[in-house]
Amino acid sequence: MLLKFELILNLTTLLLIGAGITIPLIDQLLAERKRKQVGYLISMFSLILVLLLNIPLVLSKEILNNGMLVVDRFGAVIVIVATFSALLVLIASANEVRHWSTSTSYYSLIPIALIGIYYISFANDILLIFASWMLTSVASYVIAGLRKDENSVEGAIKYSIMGMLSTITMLYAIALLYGVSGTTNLHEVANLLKLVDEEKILLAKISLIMFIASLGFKFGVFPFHTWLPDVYGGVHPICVAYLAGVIEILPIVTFVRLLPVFSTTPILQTTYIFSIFTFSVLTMIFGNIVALIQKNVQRMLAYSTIAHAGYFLVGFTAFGIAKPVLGISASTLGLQGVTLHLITYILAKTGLFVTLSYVLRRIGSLDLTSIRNLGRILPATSFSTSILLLSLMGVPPLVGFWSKLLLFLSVAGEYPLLTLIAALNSGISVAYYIVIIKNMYFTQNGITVKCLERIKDVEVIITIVTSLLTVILGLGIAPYIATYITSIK
Amino acid sequence: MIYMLVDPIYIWAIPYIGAVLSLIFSEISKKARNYVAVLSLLFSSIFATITLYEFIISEKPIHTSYVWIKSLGITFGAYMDGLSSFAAFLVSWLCFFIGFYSLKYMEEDPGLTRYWFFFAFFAGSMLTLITADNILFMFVGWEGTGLCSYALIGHWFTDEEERCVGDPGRKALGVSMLFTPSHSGVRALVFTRLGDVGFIAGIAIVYSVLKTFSIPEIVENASEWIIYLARLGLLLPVLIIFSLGALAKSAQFPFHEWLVTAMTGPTSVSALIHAATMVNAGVYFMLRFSPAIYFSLHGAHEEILLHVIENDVTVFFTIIATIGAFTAIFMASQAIVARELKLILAFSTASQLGYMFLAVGAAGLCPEFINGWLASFNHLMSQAVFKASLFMAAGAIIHTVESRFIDDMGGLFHYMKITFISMLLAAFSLSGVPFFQGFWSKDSVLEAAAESGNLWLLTLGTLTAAFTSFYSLRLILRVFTGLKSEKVKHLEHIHHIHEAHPVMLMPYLILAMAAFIIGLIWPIYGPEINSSIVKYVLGIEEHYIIHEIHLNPLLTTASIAMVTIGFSSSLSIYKVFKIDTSSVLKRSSIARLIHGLLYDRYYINPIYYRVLVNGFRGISLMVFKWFDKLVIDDLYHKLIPLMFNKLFNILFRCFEVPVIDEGYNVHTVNGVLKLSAFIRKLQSGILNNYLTTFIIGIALMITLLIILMV
Repeated sequence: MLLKFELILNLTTLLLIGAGITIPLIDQLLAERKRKQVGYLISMFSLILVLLLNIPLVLSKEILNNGMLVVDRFGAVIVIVATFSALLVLIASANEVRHWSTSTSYYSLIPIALIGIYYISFANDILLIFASWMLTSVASYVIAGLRKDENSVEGAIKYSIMGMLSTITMLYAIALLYGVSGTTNLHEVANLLKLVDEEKILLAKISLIMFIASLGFKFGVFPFHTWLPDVYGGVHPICVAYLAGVIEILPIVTFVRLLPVFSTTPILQTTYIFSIFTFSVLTMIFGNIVALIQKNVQRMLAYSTIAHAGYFLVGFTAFGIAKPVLGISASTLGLQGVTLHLITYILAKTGLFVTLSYVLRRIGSLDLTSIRNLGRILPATSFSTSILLLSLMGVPPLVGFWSKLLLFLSVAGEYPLLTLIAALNSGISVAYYIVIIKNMYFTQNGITVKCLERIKDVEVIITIVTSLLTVILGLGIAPYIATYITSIK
Repeated sequence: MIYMLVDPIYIWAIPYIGAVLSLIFSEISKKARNYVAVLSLLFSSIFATITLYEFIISEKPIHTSYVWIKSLGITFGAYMDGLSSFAAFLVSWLCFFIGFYSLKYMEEDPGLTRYWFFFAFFAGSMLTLITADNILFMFVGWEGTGLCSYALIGHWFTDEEERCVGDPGRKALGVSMLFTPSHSGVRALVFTRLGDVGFIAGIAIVYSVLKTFSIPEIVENASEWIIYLARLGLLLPVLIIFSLGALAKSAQFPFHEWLVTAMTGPTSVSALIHAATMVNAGVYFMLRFSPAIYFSLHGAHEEILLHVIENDVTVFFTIIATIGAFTAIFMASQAIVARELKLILAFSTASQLGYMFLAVGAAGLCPEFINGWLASFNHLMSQAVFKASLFMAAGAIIHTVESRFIDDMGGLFHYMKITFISMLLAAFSLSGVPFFQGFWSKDSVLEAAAESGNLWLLTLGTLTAAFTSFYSLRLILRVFTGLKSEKVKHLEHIHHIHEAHPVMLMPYLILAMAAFIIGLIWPIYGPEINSSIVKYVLGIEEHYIIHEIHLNPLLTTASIAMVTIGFSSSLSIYKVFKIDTSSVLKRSSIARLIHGLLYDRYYINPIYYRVLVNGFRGISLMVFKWFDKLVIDDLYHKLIPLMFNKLFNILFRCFEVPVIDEGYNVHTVNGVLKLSAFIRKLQSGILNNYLTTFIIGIALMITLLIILMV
C-alpha cells in the first residue's frame, strides 16, 4: 500500500510540477493565440489526472505512515476537494483570463500552488509543512496580482508583505517548538510536549500563539486579517475565486495537522482553549459587524470570509475539549465540522467569486446598486448565487447547515457560551447575505432589462455546478462524508 | 288496576300531533292538511268518548302519569274524574264539529296552514288543561290556549277594514273604538296574561307549602295549605290572586274587554275559543279547585283558625259570585244595543260565563255545595252547545251577507230557513225557554243563587235573564225578519243569497237540535248524568247520587216571567211596532246618552287605554330617556369608548411609537450601523498599520496569557 501511495504521490508531483514548468516554457515557443489555449489545456489535463490518481487514496482502509507523511482519509478527501476546486476555478476563468497578458502564468501557477496543498494534507513534519506553506503562499501572492490593474497590484503587494511577516512569525514559532521538543516530527513533538516541565511550557504557549497568528493570517483571523478586505475585496474576482476557493484550504489543513499537537497536551489545554476561544469570538464579531455596512459586494464577501474564519476557529476549539458530546469525542466532531465547513466554504466562495467575475464582465460594477435586477439579467446565475448564499447562512437542507451544526455542536457541551455567540453571529450574517439577494431580486423599479446570460459563458455553468453540489451534499450526503473522514483513526 | 282501552293522554296528545302533521302535510297537499287536522280532532273525540265510558263504569278515577322533570316533580299525564271526563268529552266533540265546519267556512283563505296548526294546537292545549294531573302541566295547556287565541284572533293580520270590530272612525273619550285583528290578538293575550300572573303566583305559593305540583295531591291536602295561609292571615288574598287567571280567561269584569274585540277572528275561531272552550277554562279552574276550598273547613281543628278560614272562604266565594253576577248583567246590557252580529253573541258569552261564576260562588255560600257546583257545570255544558251553534250560524250568515252588521241584514228568512230554525232553537236555549237545556241549567243557577241567601245575586241573575231573552230575540228578528236592507236587496238581485253549504250547516243544526233534545230528556236522564259528573270528583268526599231534578216553583215562575218580558219587549219593538231605533236616537238626547254609554261599553276601554296603557308608556319613555339613554347608553357607547380611546392614544403616542416602533426600526438600526462604521475604521488601508496590528495582536495575546496565567 505504501508503495502504491508513493507512486501516486510521485506521479501527482510530477504532473503538477510538470504542468507548472511546461506552460511557461511553451509560452516561449508557441504563438500568442495558441499558447493560451495550450497552456489552458495542459493545466486542465494535469488537474484531471491528479484528481483521478488520488481517488484510490480516498478509498484506502488504513492510515499509512511514512515518517514525514501520513495518509489518512482526511488528507485524501482534502486533496480531492482541493483539486476539484482548482479545476472548477480553472474552467471558470477560461473566458476571462484568456484576455489577460499574464494568462499563461495563471495557468501554470494553479498546479504549482496545488502542490503545496497536496503535501500539507499529508504532512507529518514541521519542516515539510513549512516548505509546502511557502510554495503555495508565494504562488498565491502572485496569483493575487495577475490582473495587473491597480487594485489587484495593491492587493498583491499588501498580501505579500504581510505574508512575509507571517512567514517570519511562523519560523519563530517552529523554532520555539523545536526548542521545546527537540524534533520536527509532529507525532513525536506531541508526545514530547507532554513531558515538558513548567518553565519551558511558556515557550510552547508563545509558539502556539505565533502559529495561530501566522496560520490564521492566511484565512482571516482577527487581528491578523487586515490584508484580507483589501485583497479579497479589491483584487479581480476570478483570482479571488482561486484564493478563497483553493488557497484557503492551506491554512485550515495546516491547523488540523498542527493544532492537535498543542491541544492534546494537558498543560496547554487551558491556554489553547482560551486563545482559540478569544480569537474565534473576536473574529466572528468583527467580520459580521463590519460586513453590515459594506456597499461593495466583493468587499462584503471578504468580510464574510473573516466571519467564517471565526466559525472555523469554533471547530478548532473543540480539539481541546476532552469531554465527549453525544457520545462522540468533541475533537472528532470538531474535525468533522471543520472539514464539512471547508467543503461548504469552498463551494460557496468559488461559486460566488466566479459569479462576481461574470457580473463584472457583463455589468462592469460590483456595488450593491449595480447588482439590482440581477435576477432578471442573469437568472440562472443569480439563482445559484442565492443558493450559495443560503448555504453560507446555514439554511437547511444545504450543506452549510450541516457544517455549522457540527461546528457549533462540538463545543456546545463544554462551552455553550461559544455556541451562543456563534449562533448569534450566524444570525447577524443573514442580514448582509440577504441584502445581496434582496438587491438581486426584490428591487424591481420598473426598468426593463435585457437578459445578458449566455449558456456558453462557462462561469454560469461553474456556478450552477457549485450550487448543485451544495444542494446535493446538503440533502443527506454531508453527514456521510463527515463521518467517513474520521472513521478510522 | 283498571283496564284501559286507551290511555287518556291520547286525548290531548293527538291534536298536538295533528297540528304538526298538518304543518308537514301542508307541503304535500292542501286537502291533506285540512283532513289531517280534522281527523286528529275526530280521533281525540273518539278517545274522549271511550275514556268517558270507561270512567262511568270504573271504580275509581283514571289516573295516568309520566315523569317529565324528575327533580322538580313535574309529571305529565291525565287525571280523569267526573269533571274532567265530561269536560273533555264536551270540548273534544265541539272542537271536532267546529273543525268540520271550518273546512268549508275557511275555504280559500290564504293562511289556512297557520289556521289549522293553531286550531289543532289549541284543541290539544285545551284538552291538556282539562285532563292535566299536574298543575304546571295544566298551566302549559293554559298558556297554549292563550297563544292560540292570540294567533287565531289575529289570523287576518293584514287588518282589512271588513275584518275589524267596531265602527270605523268612532272614538270614545279620544280613543279609537275600531279594533284591528292584530291589535285584538295582542289585547287578548295581554288581558289573559295579567290573570296568568296571579295563576302562577298561586302555583308557587301552593308549591312552597306542599312541595308538590300534582293536582290530586293539592286538592286532597288542601286543608294543609289553607290552614298554613290562614295562620299567616293571607288566605283571602292568595285565593283571590289564584283565581285571577280564571277570571281573566273567562272574561269576567274587569278583564272582559278582550272577549269583545276578539271577534276580529274568523267565526269558527270565535265559536271554538270564545264560546265553547277557552273561556270555559276559567270556569273549569273554579270547578276544579272550589270543592277543595269549600271542604277544607273539615280539616281545621283549632277554633280560631276555623273561624278565620270560614270567614275568608265565605268572603272569597261572595266575591266570585258577585263578580259573576255583575258581569252577567253588565255584559247583557251592552248586548242590547250591539250592532254587530258577533258582538251580540260575544256579550252574551261573557254574560253566561258570569252565570257560571255566580253558580260556583253561590255554591260556596250554600250548605249544599254540590248543587251550585253542578249548576255551574250544567250551565257550562249548555252554553257550550248553544253558543257554538249560534256562532257557527252567525258565521254562515255573515258569509252570505258579506257584512258583520245586523243593519245590513233583515228578511233573510226566505233564503235561510234551516239556519233560522237552528238559530231559533239555540236562542231559545240561551234565553231559558222551558224544556230547552238552557232552561234547566239557568234555573239551577238561580236556585243556587237563591239558596246562598244573598239577595243581590238572585236579583241580578234574574234581571239578566230578561235582558238575555230580549237581545236573543232581537238578534233573530233583526236578522231574519223585517225589512230587507240595501245590501240584502243588492245581493238578492245578483242571486248571491242562499242557504249555507251542508258542511257548514250540519254542525250547528246538530248542536241546536242537541240543545233541544237534551232539554227534553233532562228530567229523566239528568240525575244520572249529574251523578256521573259528580262521581269521584276531586275534593268531593261523599259519593253523591242525585235522584231527581227539582226546581223551586217560585224561581221557575220568576224566570219564565223574565223570559216572557224579554221576548215581548223585543217582539213589540222589532216586529209589531217596528220602531226605527235610529230615528229614536236622533230625536232624544237622553236616549243618545244611554245608547252611547252602552254602545261604547261604559267607556271602560278608553279608561284602560288612557290611564293604564298611556300611563305605563309614559313611564317607560321617561325611564328610557333619562336612564337608558343617559346612564347606560351614553356610558357604554360614548363615555367608556372615549376614555379607552384617549388612553390608547396616549399609550400609543408615548410608548408604542417611541419605544417599540422606533426602537426596532430606528434606534437599533442606527446603533448597529454606528458600531459597524466605528469598527470598520480599524481597516485603514495603510499597509504599515496592517503590519503593526499583526504584531500588536501577537504581543497582546501573549501578554494576556501571562497576566491571566493560563
